[in-house]
Amino acid sequence: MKAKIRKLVTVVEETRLEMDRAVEPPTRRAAAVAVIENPFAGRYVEDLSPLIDIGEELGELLAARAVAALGIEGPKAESYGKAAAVGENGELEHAAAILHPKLGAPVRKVLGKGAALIPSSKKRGGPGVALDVPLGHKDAAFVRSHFDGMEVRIADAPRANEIMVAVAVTDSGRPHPRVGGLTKDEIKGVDGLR
Amino acid sequence: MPSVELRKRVTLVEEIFHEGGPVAKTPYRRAAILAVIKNPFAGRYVEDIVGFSDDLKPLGGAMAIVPSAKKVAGPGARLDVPITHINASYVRSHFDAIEVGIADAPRADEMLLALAMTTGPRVRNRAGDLEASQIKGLDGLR
Repeated sequence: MKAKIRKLVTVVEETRLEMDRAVEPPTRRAAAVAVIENPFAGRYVEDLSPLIDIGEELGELLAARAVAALGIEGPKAESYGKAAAVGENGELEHAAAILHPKLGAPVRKVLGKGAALIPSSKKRGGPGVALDVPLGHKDAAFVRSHFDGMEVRIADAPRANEIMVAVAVTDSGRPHPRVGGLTKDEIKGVDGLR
Repeated sequence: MPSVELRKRVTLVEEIFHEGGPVAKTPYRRAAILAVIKNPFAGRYVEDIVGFSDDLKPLGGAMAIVPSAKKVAGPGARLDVPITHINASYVRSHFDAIEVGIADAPRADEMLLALAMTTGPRVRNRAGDLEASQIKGLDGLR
């Protein structure tokens, strides 16, 4: 089953000043969001494999759009995250089916690597619901400068029979990181953690 | 380092019996505790802030990374706290999140901190892959 997409939204945030201090180069993060029809809204369906396939389709589409919005090559991306909000008539498990089984592989393909877990969140909500997409470094989850989150929302989504799916990508960590821990220069990139 | 000044604490427990499908034998429970504290660094740039996190040093022996999200926001902001299994990040049945928020927090010179925990997998989880019973527990991942 192909995703029936009603709407695609791309957001780019560029931070140039934080506490009146210049951020150089500016930190940038992009989220690509798809609003799709939930084929299982309003009923309990045991086999969620059509949504799992939709996850694979959206992984590629949204990662490519997010990277394009940043204007960088995939391998230049530094952190990533994913999230889904299911409309009123859907089930939390519908978000899980889209996000977890197959969405990650095409995202990693677009970004060249991605040894780390893609951090995720999910919820059920109505139109305009705020979705916080967690962010972590794509090759080493413990890189402390890259723990972050990006809020996305769309005024008219998700409707009751829709699912809103977001993939966020950055080319940088937080502005002025100074809480220590593992830095990106120290990444070994073998186990996805350090 | 400044000490932690707590203005308010909120706890929240959600008990979920079903998600529109069959009723679970045991309800799934998610809890969050929220603390509203003064931000000792609000309104100015401070270089050395690491010591302030000492009061948040982790407890216990959980192996997996604690998933996190953060943002700058005003009073009433909603926060999605990501959730994963405490000992193995890739346990698919335990990927979840809980939304929290407090109408009057965070004020401009405050921070709203949240910690969430659950009693198990999502209700009627059926996304496959690694289950809690299959955890090896060596690397925090699987």
